Amino acid sequence: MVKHKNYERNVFINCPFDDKYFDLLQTLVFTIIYYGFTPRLSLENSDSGQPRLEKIVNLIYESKYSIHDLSRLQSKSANEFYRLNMPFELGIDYGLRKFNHEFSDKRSLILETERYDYMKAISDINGFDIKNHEDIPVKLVECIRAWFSETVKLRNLNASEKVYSDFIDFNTDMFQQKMIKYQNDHNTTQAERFAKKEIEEMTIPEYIVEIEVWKSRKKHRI
Amino acid sequence: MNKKSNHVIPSSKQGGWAVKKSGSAKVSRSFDRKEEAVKYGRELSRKEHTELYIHKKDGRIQERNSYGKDPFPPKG
Repeated sequence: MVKHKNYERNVFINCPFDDKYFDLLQTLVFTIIYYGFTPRLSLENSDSGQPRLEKIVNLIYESKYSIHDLSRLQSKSANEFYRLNMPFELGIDYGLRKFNHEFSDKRSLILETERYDYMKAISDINGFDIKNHEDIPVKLVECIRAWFSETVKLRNLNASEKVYSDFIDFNTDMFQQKMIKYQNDHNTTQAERFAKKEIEEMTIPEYIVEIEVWKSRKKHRI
Repeated sequence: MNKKSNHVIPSSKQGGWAVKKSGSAKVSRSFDRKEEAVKYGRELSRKEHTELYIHKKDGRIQERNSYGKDPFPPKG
């Protein structure tokens, strides 16, 4: 089987897509691009004619690396269901690596909120590379940085605090660029409102392009 | 935009917030609550005549305030 042309650089992201997780998703996507890899998510393609699972299986085939965030395995309120998609997709990814020797080079990282939470829900994965981020963005960057060093064998990586600081600067630069764009035809208050709204409505593919453009402009710094 | 702006950002502590300068990885001060960080950020920015950006947990800008020469002044 011919592997995807970007297989070596693709990182499949398997995570919840709820509002609360979006606090971490933006940081996750930024960090992967920052270190020179390509995040691949089911959100990148909205073709409603293709079944969701088929999209996910394709992403798994196309990505050597994967990050599975199992931090929503526990329901937080009485009527909330815990999420089963993430462990299911982890299983597909693991199955491909295990049962198809062409994909035995696949590598993955499992994330959780609190250390050893997974032992209560899915203890079979004991021994996998599992890190906990406590739902704190800069800790998430620490987890990704450590994994890129330990498993992907990247070297001379910027410190997680520096990456997170650059993430904040990226968000500021993006906001300022939008302000400048809208200020040509609107007053400051309106321009600020439109800038915030545009960023809020940004889809993941748009967001990825913004990061890539920012990164290419700052190449000498990161 | 030559002067370094101040930023209220999530800290490395659960639920905590911090204030840092643009371009600097080191935080100036950390707080348990966002309101405390915002208050400190405002005071600092007033003193330094610079801008304050208050970020959301996802990194996006929640609020921008200018306490010096506003790079985005209202059109007169």
